[in-house]
Amino acid sequence: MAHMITSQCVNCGACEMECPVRAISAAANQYVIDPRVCVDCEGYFDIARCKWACPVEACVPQRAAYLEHSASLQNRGTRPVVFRAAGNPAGTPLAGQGPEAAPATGRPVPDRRH
Amino acid sequence: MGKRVVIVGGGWAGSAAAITARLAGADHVILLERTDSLLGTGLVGGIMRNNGRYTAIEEMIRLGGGQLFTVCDDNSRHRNMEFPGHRHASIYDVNRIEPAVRRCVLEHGAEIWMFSRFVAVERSNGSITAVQLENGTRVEGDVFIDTTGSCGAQTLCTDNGNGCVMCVVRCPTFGPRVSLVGACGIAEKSGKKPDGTLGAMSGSCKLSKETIAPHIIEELERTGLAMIPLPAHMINEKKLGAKACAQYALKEYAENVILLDTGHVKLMSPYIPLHELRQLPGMEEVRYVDPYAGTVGNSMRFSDLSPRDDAMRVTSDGQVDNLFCGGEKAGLLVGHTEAIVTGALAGHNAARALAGRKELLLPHSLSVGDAITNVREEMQTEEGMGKKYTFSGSVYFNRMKERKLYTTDHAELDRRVDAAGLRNVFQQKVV
Repeated sequence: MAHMITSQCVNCGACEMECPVRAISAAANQYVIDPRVCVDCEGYFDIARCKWACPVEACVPQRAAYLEHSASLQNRGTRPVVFRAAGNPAGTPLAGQGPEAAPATGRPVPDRRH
Repeated sequence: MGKRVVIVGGGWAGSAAAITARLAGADHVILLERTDSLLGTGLVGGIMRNNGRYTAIEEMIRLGGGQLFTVCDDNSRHRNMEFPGHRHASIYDVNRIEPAVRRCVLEHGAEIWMFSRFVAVERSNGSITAVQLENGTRVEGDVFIDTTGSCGAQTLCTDNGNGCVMCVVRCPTFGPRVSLVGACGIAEKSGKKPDGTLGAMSGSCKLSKETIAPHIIEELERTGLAMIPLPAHMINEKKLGAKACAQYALKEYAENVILLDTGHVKLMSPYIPLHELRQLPGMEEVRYVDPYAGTVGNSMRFSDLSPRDDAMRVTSDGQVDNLFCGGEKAGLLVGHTEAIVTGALAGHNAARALAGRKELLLPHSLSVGDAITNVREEMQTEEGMGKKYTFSGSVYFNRMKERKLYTTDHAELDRRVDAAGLRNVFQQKVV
């Protein structure tokens, strides 16, 4: 685990000056944290010093940022979208699961056979 | 609550299973699909009725399980065409086939659940009771069918292929395939390339029509086929061995760029880097549309093949007793036609299992029955695991011809199915 700097970074350099282990350096368009050096300020400060110093909340724990990012990128973990033909006799209600718990977004596909 | 058949994986096999399970009278059939559309690798297919597939398809129609073949016929761009090594082929339009299949599945009264990736199984006393989806939903059922295929996760391609080529399977977006059979703790097999490494590379790539010269596209749309000879320095016959589709591992495919009109342009020749493809006349601005990284190859297939019997029931050492399988999951029987055949039988037998009825076995007097048995037996040997089986070419088509199973004579096909006493067997309600 380490902290990281997101693309919110405005290149001010506040974090670099505050870092107790000198894990932060300037890169092409923003500052970056070397995860091999970063210790999350354990033994130095109660909250990560970069996070404390950053004016735009760009310094965050790596894992949390990753999870937030991947959740927004991936259409996963959403509820199923159920499709069922109109008048389907098999549409028995399901106790606490499946279509009942899922949004009623199942649209029958229009019949175009003629 | 009526008894339920739950099918994991909405490719050709799963779609066929959903239809035949409903035809056989299963009350409630749920087809779970990981992505936003049905068919999976079927979205890059197109070629039907070539060589022995014609026989298999006509047998299935007479057995009463030909619904999806009719959908393919209705959506064919070209019929009764020839290309090297293949006769009387028809080519369905890959851009139009998915909505048509979806309609067909729904019309038969099955439910389709999209964005429903299987991740875990619940079992009790040697039976599967429910499957869990990534989003936390539990789907209970009485009989289950694994039609999850053999492509993906991404690591399959990064470890055994040329990396993720961004193919139609779309693992990064919708999450990796999880094998239901594997989740039950049943040991699965994997196919091998001739060099002994795991898997096989998917067959063909699609090119964008808009990026190819008009005179080539005109010929392609008129005849279904365009062949462009490769200059000598670009011919590499070694590439053929790596392909999943042995029926296209012929000399002509190494010496020419063979294009088929599937709606897109299907490139039948193995993996040509974009800059080389662009050296050919009329292809100067060509572009791959699937997989995006077609330059380096295609996705890997044939990991996680399930043990099964000839009724498509998954065989295990007591782990599960209510699980069937179909499609590529069920062994090295390659192709859309083949997946529909095994999927249809799995769906029908799942309904029989619901009713406690004896399972249907297809006889060896029919190519569909012979293939299911032959491939299972061949897969018992190391040598057999290195081969691929299809009605349309290579070792199994040779066997069809030797055993006089290959025919395009409709009267003969009528006679065979009637002699087996199985006319419209898939339409009989068993539940």
